[in-house]
Amino acid sequence: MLIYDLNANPLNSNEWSFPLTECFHVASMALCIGTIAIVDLRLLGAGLTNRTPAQLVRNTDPWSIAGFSIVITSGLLIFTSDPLKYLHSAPFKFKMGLLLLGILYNYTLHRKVAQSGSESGWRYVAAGVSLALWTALVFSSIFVAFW
Amino acid sequence: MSIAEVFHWTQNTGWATALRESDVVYPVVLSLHLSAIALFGGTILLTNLRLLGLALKASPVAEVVRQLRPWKWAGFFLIVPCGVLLASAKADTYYPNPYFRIKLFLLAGVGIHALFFRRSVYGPTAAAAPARAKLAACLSLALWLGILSMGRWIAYYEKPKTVTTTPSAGSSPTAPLRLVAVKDRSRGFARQRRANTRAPHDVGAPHQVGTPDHIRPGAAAPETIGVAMLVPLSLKYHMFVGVFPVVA
Repeated sequence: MLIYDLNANPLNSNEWSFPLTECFHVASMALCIGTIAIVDLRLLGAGLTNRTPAQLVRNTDPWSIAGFSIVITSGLLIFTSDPLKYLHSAPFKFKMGLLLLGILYNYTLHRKVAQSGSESGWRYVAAGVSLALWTALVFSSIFVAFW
Repeated sequence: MSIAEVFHWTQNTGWATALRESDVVYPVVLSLHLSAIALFGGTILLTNLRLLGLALKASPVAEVVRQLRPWKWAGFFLIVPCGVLLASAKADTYYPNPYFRIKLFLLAGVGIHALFFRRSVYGPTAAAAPARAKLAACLSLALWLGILSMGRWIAYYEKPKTVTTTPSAGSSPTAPLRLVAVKDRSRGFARQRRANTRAPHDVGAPHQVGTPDHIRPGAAAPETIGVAMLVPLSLKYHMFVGVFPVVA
């Protein structure tokens, strides 16, 4: 059987790799949530109003995907630094739930509303739900360390 | 009053003490700080990516800059007060922290960047040469990523603690006490948690990585875990039991 020795993980055996991974995590988090927030602002009628929400989704999507891939990769690395600690952390489980919901929501309902170009009130709801989900995700991340 | 004394005074004001000692308000302010970075940091990124010609290519530069500017300021006025609150709560430990000082210098660098490029690159009638615009965008990205990284690194600095040791038996009784720097060697998550907790911890205490606080008393925490066990474990501890039927 494979035995995973935590002390053999480079993240746990030098001073700089853990904070550096976290910097990647936070910066790419800002990239993917920030680009989604730009679309949300547009749905709320603010920000880049000269473009339609559908155009903005097309323009920002590669950057959201790039952000997601870095944030998830660095997140998995951070998870390996102390898996049991995270698995026992209630805010972490909550965060993973929100992440799953957020990604599902972003690529289904949110996208549908943004691409439909509808002017109904639902676009405000879609943007509000998206902003609330991602903000809650950031809050739960902080509480992982403070619980 | 020296700067150190100003920091010390700030930390001991009533509100800074209350913030430092609150189990809820401190992480909430930190979460607001980070949420604002996430929501509004994207506007800085997109503006600079547009200057580099990498994103939003269909919109003119001046328009992207102008329409995103109010949101950049909104983020700035949320991020900075939260940051000031966070630094005030632990001002005494922030004062000697080199990462905190570098962060302040980089923030000053953002001001200097604005002096140089604000009118020519980010202005309403900017006619900057693409090379100059690209230079401005790269510098801005580097400054903000540096500020973000230094912000994260602040939590990992520990002022080397000086402890006095009694002279060893062989040395002369008049030999001066030696000052020895002691560094905390704990790692990763444990280190972050320690940096975040306000209680001072004893320097040399051994810390075992991999022992969760929430594990039931009496239950032995395994030091190692099979990689193959991670998947079933995460399934065991997942929280989607109630969520899945709703989604499905």
